[in-house]
Amino acid sequence: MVHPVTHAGLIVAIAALLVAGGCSSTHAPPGPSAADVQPSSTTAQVDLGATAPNEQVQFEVSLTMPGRAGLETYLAGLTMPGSVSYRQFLTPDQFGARFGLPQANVDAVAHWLSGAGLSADAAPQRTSISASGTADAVSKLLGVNLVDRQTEAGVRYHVPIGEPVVPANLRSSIAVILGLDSEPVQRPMWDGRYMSGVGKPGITPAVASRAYEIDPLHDAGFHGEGQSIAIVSFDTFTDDEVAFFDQQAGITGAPAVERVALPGSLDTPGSEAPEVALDIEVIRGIAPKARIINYEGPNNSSGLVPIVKQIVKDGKVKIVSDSWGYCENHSNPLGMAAEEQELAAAWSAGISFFSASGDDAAFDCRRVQISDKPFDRDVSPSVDWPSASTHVISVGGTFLSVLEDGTYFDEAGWEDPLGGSGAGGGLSKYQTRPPWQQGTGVNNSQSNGMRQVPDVAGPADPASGFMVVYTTDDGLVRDQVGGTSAASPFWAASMLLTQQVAQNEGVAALVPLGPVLYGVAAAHPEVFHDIIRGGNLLFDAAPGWDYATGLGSPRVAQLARAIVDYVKANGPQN
Amino acid sequence: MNGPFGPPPGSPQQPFGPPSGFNPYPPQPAKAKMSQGTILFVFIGAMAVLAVLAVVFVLGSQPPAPVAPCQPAIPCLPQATTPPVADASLGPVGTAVPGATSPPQTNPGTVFVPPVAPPSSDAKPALSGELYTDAKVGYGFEYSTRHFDLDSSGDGWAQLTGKDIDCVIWVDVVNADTPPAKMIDRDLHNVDKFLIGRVADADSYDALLGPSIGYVNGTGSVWAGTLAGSNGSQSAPGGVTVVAATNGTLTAVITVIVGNPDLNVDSQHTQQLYARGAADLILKTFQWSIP
Repeated sequence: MVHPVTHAGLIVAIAALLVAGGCSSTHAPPGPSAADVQPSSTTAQVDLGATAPNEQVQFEVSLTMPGRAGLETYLAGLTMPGSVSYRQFLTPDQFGARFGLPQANVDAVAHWLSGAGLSADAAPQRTSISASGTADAVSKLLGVNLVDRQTEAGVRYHVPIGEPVVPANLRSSIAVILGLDSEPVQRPMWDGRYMSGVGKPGITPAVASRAYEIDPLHDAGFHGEGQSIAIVSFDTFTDDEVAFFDQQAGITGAPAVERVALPGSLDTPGSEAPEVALDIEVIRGIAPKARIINYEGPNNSSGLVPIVKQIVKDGKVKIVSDSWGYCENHSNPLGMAAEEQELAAAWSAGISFFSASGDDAAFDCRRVQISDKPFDRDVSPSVDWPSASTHVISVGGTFLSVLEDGTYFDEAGWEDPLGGSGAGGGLSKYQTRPPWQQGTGVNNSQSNGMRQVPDVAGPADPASGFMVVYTTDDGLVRDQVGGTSAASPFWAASMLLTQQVAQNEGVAALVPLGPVLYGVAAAHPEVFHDIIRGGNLLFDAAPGWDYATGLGSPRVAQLARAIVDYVKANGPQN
Repeated sequence: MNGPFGPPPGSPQQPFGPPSGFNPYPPQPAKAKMSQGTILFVFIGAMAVLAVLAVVFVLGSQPPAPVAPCQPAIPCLPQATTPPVADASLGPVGTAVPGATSPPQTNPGTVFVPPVAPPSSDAKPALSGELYTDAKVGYGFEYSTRHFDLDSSGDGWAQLTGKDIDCVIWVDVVNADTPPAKMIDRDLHNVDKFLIGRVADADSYDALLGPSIGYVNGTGSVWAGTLAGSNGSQSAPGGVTVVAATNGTLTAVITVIVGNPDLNVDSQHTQQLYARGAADLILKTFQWSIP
C-alpha cells in the first residue's frame, strides 16, 4: 500500500534537500560532448572572421555516376542466387570503369583542381575526388568566402559563404562538393557510463565469448588469425590504451592496431576518443589475433566519403565497423547520396559494412534543436544514417543479462523510458526496402515500403556495457561503456571469425552479409536469440524481426556454421 | 523527395536489364601453368618450413608471458569508479608489429562443428546494481549505488536520494485494483505539498517518449514548478517526472523529483535528464514478482 502519511512526513526533508542542493553534483558527470550536437540553424555559434588564407582545407568532389541504372541492376543481382551478377565482385577499377564517369571526365575535374594549386586524389572507383589546398586557393577556385566559427563547446570550424561555382564544362561531372563546412557532423554512438549490468567491470571478452557462444570458435582455433577488419573513425586512439586493455583482458601476442590517417584527421585523441577505444577493444576481445585497421578521417560535412573510398581503394578488408552517424531527417540528401555511392562501391567489392543504429531510440533527431528555444527538440520518429543505407548491416542494441559465470541469461531491446536513450530503429525516410529484407515480422502494420532498421542487434545498453580502456585528462581509465557503438563492432568481429571459418573450409567470400543473415534466419532461426522484451520507446521487441532488435542477437558459433553452410549451398564460392 | 540513391519512394521499379554488350562476368585471372605452379608449391613449402623454424626459435628465446594482473571478468582496480591509471603502471606494448597477424591455428579444410546446446550453468544472475526486494508486496528492483542511496522504505514503497544528483525517487507499488492514473494522481498530490505552481512541462527535450516499468508499457507525465523552502517561500525550480504501469496483478508508480532541472551538467544533459537516465536502471530491472 502507498503510505501518503509517510510520504508527507518526508516531504519537508525532501524539499529541504532539493532546495539546499545537499546532494548536488560535485563534478560534471560523463556524457556525450559537443560533437554529439547535430548542426542546426538554431545552434548558437560564434563568428570568428575570415579563415586564415594559408589554412589547409580539405573537401570532397562527389562525381556523377552515368552508369547508375546499370549499377542498380548489378547490385540487386550481386547477392541474389541465379542472377548473372551473383557474387561477381568488382575491384575499384572495374567498378569505376563500369559505372563511373569516363576517365577523361575524371581527369578534367582533377586537372581543374590541380590547376588551381590544389591536390586532387581521384580514386579508381571514380566515385569522388579528394581535394585539399589553402583556404585562399580554395576560395578563389570555388568563388566562396570561408569564415571561421566556433560552437558553444569551443570547437572551431569553417563554413563557406556562397555556393561553390563549377565551370560549365564540368557541371555534368560533379554531383556535389562536400566538406567546405567543417563543423563536426558525425555523432558517435557510444553512450553513458553506468555501473554494472552484467556484473563488474562490464562485458569482458570472456563474458562476451561465453554469453554469445563464441567460445567454441576460440576453442577450435579461430581467433581472427589471418583476418583483417577496418574501423571507421573520426577520432583516434593511443597504443597505451590498447596495451592496457590487453593487460586487463589477458590478451597476449595480438598484432598492433594499425592507423590510416586521412588528411584533416586528428593527431591526438579528441573528445570522442572513447568511441575509438570502444570499437577497437570490442573487436580485439572477440578476435584478438585479427589485424585491425583504424581508418581516421576529418569529422566534417564530407562524412563517410573519404574514409569509405579509402577502404575500398585499399582493398585490405571485407568487414567494416562504423559507429558514427547522424539523424536522417535532418541530413543533407545530397550528402547522403554521395555517401551511398561510396557504400555501393564497398558493397560491390564484397564488403560487409556494419553500422550502429543510433542511441536515441526511435527518435534519432531528439538532440536537434528546432527553434530558438533550447529545449525545443525534434522528437518525431527518425532513424540514423548511414545505418538506414541498404548497403550496410544495421546493428541495433539490447540490454544483456548474464549469470555470474557469463552464461547468457536474458536480453531485452534497449530502451531508457526516463532518459530517452535506446537502440535506434524504425523506417527510413529516403531509402526503399531492399528485396532481401524478408522474413517473419518484416512485413508488419508499420511497413510502408521503406528500409526497415535495424537488421540485427547486440549488447548496447550502458547498463550492460563493455569493459573499455580509454584516455582521459587524468590518464587511462577502465570503464563500462555502451551504445550501439558497441553492438556494431561486436557483430563485425563475430562475422570476422565467421569469415575465418569460411576461408578455412575453402569458401573465399561471404558476400555482403545483409542478405545472407536474412536467408539464414529464415532457415535456422535458432541461431539467433529472438528478443521479445523491451523495445526502443516506440516499437516493442517481438517474435521474429522487429524495429528494436531486428533479427536478434547471435549465437555466434551456431550462426557461423549456418552462414558458411548457407554460402556453400548457394555457390559459387568466390 | 527523391531518395539519395535510386528512384523516389513509390516510383515504379524500372525494368532493368543488362545493357547491350555488357559482360556480366568480370574477367578472371588466367590460371598459372602447371610448371609454374609446381615451382611455386615447392617455394611455398620451403618458406613454410623456414617460418615454422623461425617461430620455434622466437618462442624458445622469449621470456615467459607475463601473468595478467587481472583475470577476465574479475575486477581488480582499487575502485569501481574507474580511477585514473598512471601510464607508468602499464606494461610494455610488447613485440606487436603493425600488420603482423598470427598464422592460422586451424587445419585448413577441417569443418567446424559447434556444440548444439548453449552452455549450461547453475550460477546466479549477475546483478545490475544493488537489489531491493519487497517480500510482502512481492516486487523488486535494482538501483545504482553510484548514484543513489536507499533513504527509507516500507511495505510497498521505497525512497531513494541522489548521491551525485540533486534528486529524490519514490517507488510505490500496490495491488492492481488501483489503476496507474490514480496512483499518479496520488503521488502528484504529495508533490504539490512542496512544489509550488506545478504545470505541465511542455519542453520536448523533457518529454517521456515511451513510458514503461519492468518492460510493461505504461503512462506518465512531466511537470515543472518551484520548490518550497522550509519556511514555505519559493526557492528553486523543480521538475517532476512520474511513470506508472500495471501488469494486472500490481500497479507501480515511480516518481523522480529533481531540483534545478534545467541546470546543465554537460553539453547534452540537464540535471533532470541525467537523473532520469540514472534512474532508468530501476525501471529496467523492475521485477513484477519475486520468488
